[in-house]
Amino acid sequence: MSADFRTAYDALLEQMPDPPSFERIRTQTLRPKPPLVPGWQVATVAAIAVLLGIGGIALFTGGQPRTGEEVRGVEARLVEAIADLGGLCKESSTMADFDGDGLTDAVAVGFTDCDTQTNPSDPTMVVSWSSGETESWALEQCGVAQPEGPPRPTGICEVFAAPDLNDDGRAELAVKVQQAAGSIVLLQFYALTPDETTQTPIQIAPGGPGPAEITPGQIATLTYGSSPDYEENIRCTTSPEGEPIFLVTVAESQGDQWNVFEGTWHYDGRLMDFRSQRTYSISKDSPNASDLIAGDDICGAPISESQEEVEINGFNMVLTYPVDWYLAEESLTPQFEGKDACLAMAVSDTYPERPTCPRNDPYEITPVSYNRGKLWFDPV
Amino acid sequence: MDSDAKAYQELRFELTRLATALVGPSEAEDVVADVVVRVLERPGGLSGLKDPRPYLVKAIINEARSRFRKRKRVDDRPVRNEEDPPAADYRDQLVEVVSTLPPRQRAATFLVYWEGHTSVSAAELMGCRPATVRRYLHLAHRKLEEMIDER
Repeated sequence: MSADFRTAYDALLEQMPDPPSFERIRTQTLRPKPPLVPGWQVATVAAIAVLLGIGGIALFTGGQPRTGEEVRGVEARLVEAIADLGGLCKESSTMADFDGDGLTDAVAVGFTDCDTQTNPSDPTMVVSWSSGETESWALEQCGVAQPEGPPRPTGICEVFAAPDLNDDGRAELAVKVQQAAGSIVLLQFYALTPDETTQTPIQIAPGGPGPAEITPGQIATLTYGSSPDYEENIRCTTSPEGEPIFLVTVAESQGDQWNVFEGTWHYDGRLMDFRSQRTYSISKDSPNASDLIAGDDICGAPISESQEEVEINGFNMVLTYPVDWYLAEESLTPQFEGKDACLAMAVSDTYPERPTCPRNDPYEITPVSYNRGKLWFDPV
Repeated sequence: MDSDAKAYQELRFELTRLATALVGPSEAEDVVADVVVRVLERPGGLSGLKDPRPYLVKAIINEARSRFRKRKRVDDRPVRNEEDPPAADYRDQLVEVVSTLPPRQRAATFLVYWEGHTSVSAAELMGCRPATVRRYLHLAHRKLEEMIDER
């Protein structure tokens, strides 16, 4: 069979072009480069980012890296561990202190069987510990829980955030397993420990007054995000007894008020315990209503930024989530030259589903549809 | 001829050959040029690299991976569809299979089967472990077997 590969490469190399001349390469290095983005665009986007509170997206969600070199070492070992698996597709990653040693660890989640990008399989987690060790596990349960049988794979298994749900100094890993309406996602949580328990998402503790869908022994699946009619948020707080708890709220929009279902949860480091529930209504003008709005973090841990480069109508666009505004990177796309093009977009419910460009924006924006977190639009 | 030009002259055929194997003849020249341009823009340039060969091999593979990802995202169609003309012969089919391999699997098969590297020396060039190279070879073999089974 190795002869077959030689035959294939022989065929390709028969058509090998001449190497580019050094003069051509030298000329290319001397070509003036356009600024990445015009200064006013940077200022505009930066101002918007500050206004929206997205300027503070931090690289690290927890843990104190001792030096930049050590953090780079954690990252480099993560990359190496992924390479050892033959690579991951649909890879996502974040950094946090998962083992509570006060130092930053790195984790990546992706798929090892990437024959098709649309339906990958074998979800896998790779962890690079601050100690220098790396480990990987198959995430066989990454999917949507079903009443019976194993979870149903969705083709989505993606790092979402690394909140410390019980304030014990160890971050839990929130993994997105399904995308629902708007930006609403289904999340499962993993406690990363240097043993095989990491493979299983955190489950619901026995007992508790939960509604039917909250079943003891099931994998805890929580929702987070926004859609036109719903706000679903997860926030950490403290019970009157001083115990760390987290509140999972589902707020349904009805006129000028929210109808809220609020579940109170506690994570004991092993299982999630559904403590209590209540329903109430609150005016959208109430100061407390802001607690219901899904923002850019879970319990202070920023939602991992994910990027996707797509081509839309011949334009290369980098879409970044969950950032509200993003600049189309003109400099990356010579096709933009001499054309008006979409500049920025809104992808959160902070804005209407069909936003319009600010009047002072010299570009036009024509969103045509909003689907699963993607805003598709036509250049004008 | 300055030292950068000299360093490039020594490696240009090898780099173009690798790029041709990884991205095909039509893009190979651009891949080499883009990679070398980026190196020249670094402090010290090409001649400042302690060992330019593995560095450039890895850079070519990374550039090929980047183009491969971009292409996958832009166009996730299967390689063949009913409107495509059937492959003319077995050799064309082999080229077609190789063209669908991820760049690092292509690099591994090219370095080991065409250039005659061992998995150890290929791993050194690719910047990974020998076991990883062997895994790439295994995956590439599996793909080729699937093609043969379908014939």
